[in-house]
Amino acid sequence: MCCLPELPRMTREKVDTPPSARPSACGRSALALAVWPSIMTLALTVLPVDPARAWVLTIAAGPKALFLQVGNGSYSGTYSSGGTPLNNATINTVSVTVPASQVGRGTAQAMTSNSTQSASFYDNFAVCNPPAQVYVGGWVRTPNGSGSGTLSVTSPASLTSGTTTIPFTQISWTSTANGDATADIPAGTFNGGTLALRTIAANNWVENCLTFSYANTLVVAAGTYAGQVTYSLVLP
Amino acid sequence: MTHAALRLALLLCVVTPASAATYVVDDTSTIPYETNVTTRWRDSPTGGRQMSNDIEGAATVNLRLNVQPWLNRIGRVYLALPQQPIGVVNVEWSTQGRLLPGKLQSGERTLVYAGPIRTSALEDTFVVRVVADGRRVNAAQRLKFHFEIDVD
Repeated sequence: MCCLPELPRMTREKVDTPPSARPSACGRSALALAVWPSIMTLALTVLPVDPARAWVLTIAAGPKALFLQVGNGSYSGTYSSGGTPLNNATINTVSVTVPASQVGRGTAQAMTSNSTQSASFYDNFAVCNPPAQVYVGGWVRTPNGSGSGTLSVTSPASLTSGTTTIPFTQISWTSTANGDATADIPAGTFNGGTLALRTIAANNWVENCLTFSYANTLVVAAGTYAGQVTYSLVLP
Repeated sequence: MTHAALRLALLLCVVTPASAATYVVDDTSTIPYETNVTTRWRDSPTGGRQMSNDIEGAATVNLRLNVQPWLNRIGRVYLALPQQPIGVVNVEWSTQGRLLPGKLQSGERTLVYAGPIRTSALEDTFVVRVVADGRRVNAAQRLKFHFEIDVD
């Protein structure tokens, strides 16, 4: 026996409410025939998904974060393998010993470092050639993936040895990387203050290898001259 | 009843012999019913020195679906997530075995149960992982999931 359809099949956009007291389809022909207008009303009262019946997950925007590495740094594995940044308090040293016969002659002196950081924590690729090169790299994250951070370096006016000094402007650097000769962090010279190097757009890993040199244009007294520079990555 | 109505009724009977229908399942006993998910930026290389634009988060929920209205019927239960203003949202979940694990994209639904409805409630614990484009999530976004059931 053919019976009246229970309800037309609903589309994905229109989902019916539960059939609370609805009689089963088969064996209800008589009832269906008798109350057809009522059944039609039910069939047309198709409700969209009731928001009250919706299990809700609220996801937050991505967190603000940044990472800056100068010289030796630490990461739990690599970014490509799901690693995350770790703190590393190492302060690397860049130095040069100028032979007495060369002091102040204007022949630039290549500097070397005690950095051992060769690999990028992005993917473990050997981007730098220490100790001649010092790795500098970083990234920023913003809640909506837009905006940027600013990388800068601050140097004191001078390197000092007791009461004698050498201006920090005597020290410069070039910038490159294995596999990417572009100076993503521009070459420059310390200015005895804060020098903006570049902006780093959100969700970009920027890195380069810096090679420092001493200009050696000044005749200075013998001694060990030291000074500390600080690289900063600021995310508003 | 008019003849036209009768003819229509008979025609529908032929076209939809299974008389299947889709209903929203009452999931209001799910705990927690609203879950705040902390996200993190996803770590996956995208070429060059680009970093992923995706954010991901996870949550555990104890789902309780009231299927009493379809007791002793054959049903297929789906998890559904409507399309979202923040673009494609990918969802993946594992279960304890009562319901099926799976994944879906916003705008889709995925089967989590098929078979006879023998109890008034379907319960399971879902560990849900959500991935979205972090560039489009400026503030907290509510993802309103729902469960649908197709019954024969």
